[in-house]
Amino acid sequence: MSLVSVVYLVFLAAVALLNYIAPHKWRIYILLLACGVFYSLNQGMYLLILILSISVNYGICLLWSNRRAKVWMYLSLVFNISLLGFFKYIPAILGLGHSFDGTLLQRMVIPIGLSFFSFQAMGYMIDLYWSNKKEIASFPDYALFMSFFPQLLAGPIARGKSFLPQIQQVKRFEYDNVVAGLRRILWGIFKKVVIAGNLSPYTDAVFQNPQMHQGVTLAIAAFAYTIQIYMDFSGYSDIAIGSAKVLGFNLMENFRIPLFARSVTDFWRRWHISLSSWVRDYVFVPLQYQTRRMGMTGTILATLVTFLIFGVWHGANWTLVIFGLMQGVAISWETISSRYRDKVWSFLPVWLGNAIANILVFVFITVSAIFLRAASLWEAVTMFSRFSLDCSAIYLGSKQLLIFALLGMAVVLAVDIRKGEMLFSTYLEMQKPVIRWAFYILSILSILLIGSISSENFIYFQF
Amino acid sequence: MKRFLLKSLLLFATIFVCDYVIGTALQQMFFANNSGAPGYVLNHIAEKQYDAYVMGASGAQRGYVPAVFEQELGLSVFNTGEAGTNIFHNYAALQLILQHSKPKLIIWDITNADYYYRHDASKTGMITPYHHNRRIRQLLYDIQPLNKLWLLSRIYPYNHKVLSIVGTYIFKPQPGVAGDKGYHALNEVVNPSTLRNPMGQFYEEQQSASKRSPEMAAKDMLIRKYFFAFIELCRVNNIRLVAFHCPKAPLNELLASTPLLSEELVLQLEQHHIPLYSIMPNTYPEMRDLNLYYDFSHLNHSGATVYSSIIAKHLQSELQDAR
Amino acid sequence: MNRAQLLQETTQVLIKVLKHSNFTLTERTTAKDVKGWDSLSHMVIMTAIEKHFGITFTLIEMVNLTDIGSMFDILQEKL
Repeated sequence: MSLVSVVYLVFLAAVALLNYIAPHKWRIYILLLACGVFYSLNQGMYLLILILSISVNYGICLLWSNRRAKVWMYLSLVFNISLLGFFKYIPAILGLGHSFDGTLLQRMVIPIGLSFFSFQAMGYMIDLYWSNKKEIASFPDYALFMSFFPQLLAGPIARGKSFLPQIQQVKRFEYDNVVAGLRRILWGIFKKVVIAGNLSPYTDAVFQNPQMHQGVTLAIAAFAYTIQIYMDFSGYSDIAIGSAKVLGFNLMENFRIPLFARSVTDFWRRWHISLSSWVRDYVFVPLQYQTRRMGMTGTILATLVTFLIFGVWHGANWTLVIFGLMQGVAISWETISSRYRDKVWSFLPVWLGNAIANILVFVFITVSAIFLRAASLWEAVTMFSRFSLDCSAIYLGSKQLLIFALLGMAVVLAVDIRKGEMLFSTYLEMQKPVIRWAFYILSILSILLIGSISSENFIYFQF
Repeated sequence: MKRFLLKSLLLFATIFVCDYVIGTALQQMFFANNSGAPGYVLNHIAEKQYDAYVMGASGAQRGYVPAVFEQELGLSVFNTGEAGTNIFHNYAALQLILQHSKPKLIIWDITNADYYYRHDASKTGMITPYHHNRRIRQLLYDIQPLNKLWLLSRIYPYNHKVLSIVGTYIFKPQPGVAGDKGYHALNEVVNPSTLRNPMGQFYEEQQSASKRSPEMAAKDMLIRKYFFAFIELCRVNNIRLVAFHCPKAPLNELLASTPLLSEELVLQLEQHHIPLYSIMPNTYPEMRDLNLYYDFSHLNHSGATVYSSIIAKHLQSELQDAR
Repeated sequence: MNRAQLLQETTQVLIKVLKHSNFTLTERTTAKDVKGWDSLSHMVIMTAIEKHFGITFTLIEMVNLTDIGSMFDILQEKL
């Protein structure tokens, strides 16, 4: 069940209704049941993997003793990493193609959301190890934290510290919450269906056959892909966060106007925040601590390793190693050169400096995203080798679709500029009722008119 | 809760009204265009009668020249080929034709995509405007049960078409948009060096018919339902149905001699007494020349002319046999 | 060492590392309040503080720091 589907909206409405009318102590079980149903509707028996992960991770929490805290933490890390390795990396490394009539190993697929809930489990365990109070959540609470359906498929990766305390708070139907959540969902569907969905036929056509295209086409497709993935993933995050809000939960924000980043470092504080802050807290900080006596070298080493892991989190492919390392190298460079760069920028008027910086970051991210998208190094290299400034044979696919996507994009950009760092629903709340209603009506009509309604899943489900 | 429900109701009512107004306007503009241009082929054949129709996807649209058939067979012919369509479109087209007349002949450009489900088979944009037809509505529901919901919207049938509908309504269709009675010529010649891994494409397509995942196999049932319904519809209405399979660019002996039709599909045609002609370059030497091809799977105009005259010969003998 | 002294010396360390003095340090100050004190420079700053006072923080102590005051609690313990 995709998050952009009528079935999902009906499911969410039913869960929300039950959630609000049931007695308080039943709520958690209703939500847990909903999560189980949701997962099995998506991937059937793979629900057992989720249950296995929850049980083993919680088992480790129960066996936890302060004397051997480190052992238990490492045990948990080993378990979660092995689970990821078994499903996500071993088949890819061994080069086993997926096949529905092959051996058991060939028939299996990656359990949806594995990368996300495994990271939540590890984060929880490391927090437990680091914190002074060794309080362990109750089993139902922990299970809900691991399987909460709005975020189960592709995050935002939750932290126990912020999610768990919300579970036991009494939740009544609150008009403001529900409406804020629904606005977020509508906004997310708009981004996904009107922009990402209309761009994907074009980017698919070019990226799947890079050797058929040349010149500027490849650059256009690469930029389109950056926009597509932004709209796809931030749209997904809007729906996830909005759904949680409808149920009375606050999830971590995953995007903060990333197109306005002034540096690559800044970009990764604004893009997929729940993952980038996860690797910052649980990978980068410990690494930097270990290497702190080495000064700048230590920081750079820690940065590179962190972003290597960040890249490989997306999957087992050399392209993703390069994708991660490119970010690491760029951020290291920015760390080393920050003072000189500040001087250079100070010669320019602020608005011009910002604009140039935004564009440079966007170009860099677009170049690196080619590695995120390409199925193989060969494809990525083909993309680069066939690029030139030759404008003679520009391929645009269906121009109608691109026009629809551009129109949608203009709306999102305008809203991003106006709202700044504010949350979308807060921004909308401040507008006159006429504007709010215009937003509701126009976005629903544009979804019917130009939305790509029958498109498939979100890009981030595959990671 | 009450305030929420009231406002939601108000929102739905407003949406309903807007949807009705915009949807009705789009409907008027859409059906005003019966030129037969790509995207409006069904409008044309729902109104105009012909003795025979070519049916198929882009291969039909680019490879079957009605002028050749008209000359050789003495029948009026229209080419209903539309890019990216499959048997669903043929079925809908035939339903619309049968509303006004019973044609003598259907020239069917057949591929595996008419018998095996492809990921884009559920794209129904060409058919949705005709959901008022009872049988076409049933087809739409079968393809996507949620269409029961979506078709409550009057805009949805014209989803993604707003620019072309409004554009052609304002700037009136140019003469010649329908090509030569639905046939659209391609003039370039294939350059084998720019073809992307044609053999890979060939094997992939060949294997996709033999290796079906359980999900795909389930969806194959749907497409076959309409495959057989189409054949049955021709039979009960006494329409002569003749199937043809168009060659791929013969870059080597294997491509020149192997039709990309699964054995099962060929067997089904045989069992239903549908004559099938695979025009393979190794048995039709006039199709060997690479200059007749536009790309891996399409003919150019010279190719289409040669190919159509081969087909016309077969059709002549088929029609004589029938008499 | 009392907390006023700690505050003064910490300020000096920060100025040296960050190469600017556009901040006033109080016990309530957090990294967010100081320009240039981010996740990348955090460890450099902490290492400079360690060196200056001749102590070492454990990783667990570091991740549990909430503001300057909480750092002083640990410093006072260790000095």
